[in-house]
Amino acid sequence: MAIPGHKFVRAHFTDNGRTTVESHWTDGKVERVEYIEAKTGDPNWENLLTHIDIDGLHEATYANIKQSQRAFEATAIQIAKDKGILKDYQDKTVVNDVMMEMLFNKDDTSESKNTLFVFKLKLFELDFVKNCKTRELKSKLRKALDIRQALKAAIDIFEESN
Amino acid sequence: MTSAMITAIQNRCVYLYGGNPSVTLSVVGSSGTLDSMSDTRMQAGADTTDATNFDTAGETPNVSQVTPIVFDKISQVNASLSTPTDTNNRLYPVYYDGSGAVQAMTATDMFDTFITQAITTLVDGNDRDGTFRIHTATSLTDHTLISSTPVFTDTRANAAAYTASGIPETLDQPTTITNYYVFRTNQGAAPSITVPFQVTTGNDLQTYTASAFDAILLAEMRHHAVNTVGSRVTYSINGTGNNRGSGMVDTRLDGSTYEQRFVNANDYRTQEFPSGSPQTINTYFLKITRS
Repeated sequence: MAIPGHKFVRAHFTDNGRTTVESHWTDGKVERVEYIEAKTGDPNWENLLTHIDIDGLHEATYANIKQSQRAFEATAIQIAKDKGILKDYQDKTVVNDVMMEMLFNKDDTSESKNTLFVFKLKLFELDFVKNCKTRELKSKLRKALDIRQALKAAIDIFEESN
Repeated sequence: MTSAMITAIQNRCVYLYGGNPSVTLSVVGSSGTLDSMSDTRMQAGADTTDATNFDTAGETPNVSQVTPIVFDKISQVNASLSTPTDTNNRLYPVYYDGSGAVQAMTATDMFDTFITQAITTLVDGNDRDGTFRIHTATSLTDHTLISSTPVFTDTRANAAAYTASGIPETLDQPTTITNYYVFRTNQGAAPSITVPFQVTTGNDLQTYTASAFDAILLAEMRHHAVNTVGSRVTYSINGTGNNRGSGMVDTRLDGSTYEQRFVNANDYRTQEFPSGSPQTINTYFLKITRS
């Protein structure tokens, strides 16, 4: 037994070379770790293989890596949400907030002009805008100075088309 | 003497050695005789402050590795022993030479018959009496803790301790992952043996007393374990031989996170913190061999 008086709990490789195994053992109260060299003839390694086979070790290693990645991703996403970099659009409150901000934020920076430009391009890709024959409405959309005007023109076109 | 009797005496040699090993490990403050080990970890990069906007991640200093912490705490101590004296060539057990004579073993016979195999057993990597191993707790069944001072400590940056609201964070905020300790395997149960005959000073044959024969075996084991080339019990860190107990793993986080803190319109702060997954940088094994 790798650790006298302990029972095997789980194990996985710790390195890309698959030369070292992190094994966990318990005495019924406390879980303890032991690092074992994956080397034929090593008593601890040979003992470990009586508790888990090579395939099991590789599967456990894969699961451990995935779990680590998930934990890291969850942390990164939480940080991004906290900073406002990432919005959760499944949250209706977030959608409402974003709409309000887009429509009524009196922002006149070059960034907002770029946003307006991209917004107009997206509107012109809509079928009812593409098919609109009323030049005056399309001209209003083209000449809109902010998001509100662009959206208003698009709504006019939409209502005319229905 | 049957092979079973010989094997029993070889096991008795291991048991006796376990009660008084001549090769021991001690935990010292520094400059141990075994190779040193290094613990590494990452720390935050220096913070930045800008009066107009946040410095970008590219402008913010990267996380860095702290100066490795060197653990050089394991010393091997060999007892100073001389060769047991075989006065009048009667010290060792007798054997039948196959030609009608009974004669006492020589020191070489003793070594070849009992001691060399016992030393091979001692260094086979299992928990043998009187050998030393590494463990990740301060108690272990059938073992004696040599020192409550760990011989190696794996630390990592404590990612949870770094917060954007805390910028400027202290660069080095470590957390201990695992401590490693040295243990000696206790003397186990005494294997029973058939005590052999010896030649008395009057050239008679009589059995040793059990304690007298044990004393001879122990003296031989202790002597050969430190003095005989090819049979000296030797410990090392990542040298040759078999592993003794847990490997000692140096891990550190493999990523970083760029964080911002808005203090006021004239104070935009950024800093990069250690993050990511732990990666194994190095694994150290306490090894035992005969050399």
